[in-house]
Amino acid sequence: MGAPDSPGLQRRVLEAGLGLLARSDVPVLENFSDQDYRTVNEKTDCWSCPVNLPPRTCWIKYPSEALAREISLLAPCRVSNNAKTGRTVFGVSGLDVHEIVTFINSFIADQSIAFSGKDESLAQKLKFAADDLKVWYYEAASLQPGTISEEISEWFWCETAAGETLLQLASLMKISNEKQLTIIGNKGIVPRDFQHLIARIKD
Amino acid sequence: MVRLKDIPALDAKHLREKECPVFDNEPFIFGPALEDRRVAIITTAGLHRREDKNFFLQDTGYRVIPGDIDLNDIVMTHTSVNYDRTGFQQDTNVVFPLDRLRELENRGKIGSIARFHYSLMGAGWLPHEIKPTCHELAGLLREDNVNAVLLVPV
Repeated sequence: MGAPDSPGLQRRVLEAGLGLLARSDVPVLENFSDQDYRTVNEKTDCWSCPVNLPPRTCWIKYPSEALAREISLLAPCRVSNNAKTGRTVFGVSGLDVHEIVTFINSFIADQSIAFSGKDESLAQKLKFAADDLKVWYYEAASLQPGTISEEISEWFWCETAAGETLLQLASLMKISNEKQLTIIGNKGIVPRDFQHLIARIKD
Repeated sequence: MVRLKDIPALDAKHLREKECPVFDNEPFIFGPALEDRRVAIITTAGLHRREDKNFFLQDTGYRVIPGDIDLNDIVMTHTSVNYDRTGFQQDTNVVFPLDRLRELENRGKIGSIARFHYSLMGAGWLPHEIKPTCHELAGLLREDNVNAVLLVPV
C-alpha cells in the first residue's frame, strides 16, 4: 500500500481506496494514478552491499565457514540499520543467528538429525530458521541508502554464502521422504525467480 | 494492489494463470458516509504479534491484532517466499496501514477504528476452505460495530 516510509503516499492510496466506498456505480475497479508512486518505483540509485564480502569463487568449497565470516562482517551493519529504523522483524524461529546457522548446517550434514520440537515439526523449524536468516541479511543490507529489493535479492541468492546455504538446504529438503520437508523444500525456502540456482548446487 | 508489470515476470505469469471465479450476482451493499464508518483491517499477509503462533502451510486460522498495537511488535510468517518482504521490513504500514488509519481518524476523515484487526495467511487454500473462518470473522466484526473493512493483500 504505497511505499515504505512514505506516509504521504500511503495516505493518498488509503484515501483513494476508502473513497470508493461512496461510489454507487458498483462494481468499481480503479487504477491509482499518482505521480509519486512512479517516482518511488523508478529510483535509480545503485545499491551495493555495505561491506565487501569475499566473492563466491573464494569460498564455494567451504560455504559454512564463509557463512560465519559473512555474519561477523555484516553484524555491525544490521545493528546500525536497526538502530536507524528502530525496528526488527527477525525472530520468528526463536533462534539467534548463530543458532540458525548451526541448525541449518546440521541438517545439511545429516538429514536424519533428531529433532524434538515441542510444538513444531522439523520442516517448520527449518522454514522459520531460513526466513529469519534472510531477514537478518536483508536488515544488514538495508543500511545502504537507495535500497532496492530486487538488487538485494539478487545479491543474497547469487553472491552470499547464506544464499548458497539455503539453496543447498532446499535441494536436500526437496528429496526427503518426509512430506512436509518436501513441500517446504520445493516452495518454502527459495523464491521461484531463483529456483534455477538450485541446479548449480547439484553440479 | 500492485501492477503486474511491476513484479517479476514469473510472478506475474503465476498470477495471470490463477483461476478467477465468476459470481452470478453483485454482492455490494452501501453504508454510511466515510466519516461515520468504523474501520477494521483484514490482512492476508500472514502478520501476527511476535508471541502468537506462526502461520505454516495450509493454516486457515486467523490471528487477532489489537487496535492499540505498536506496529514494531508485528512479524510476518507467510508461507510463500515469492513476494517481496523488504517493504514490510522497513515499514509495517505498507501491508497494515494502521498508522495511516489513526491519522485519518484524528482528522475526522473516518469515524473510528475497530478494537481489533485480523490477519490470515493468504496462500495454499481454496475459497471454500477459508469460508468458515470468514463467517467467524464477520461475526467478530459485527460485534465490534465495524461497517468498513480494508482487505489488504500482501
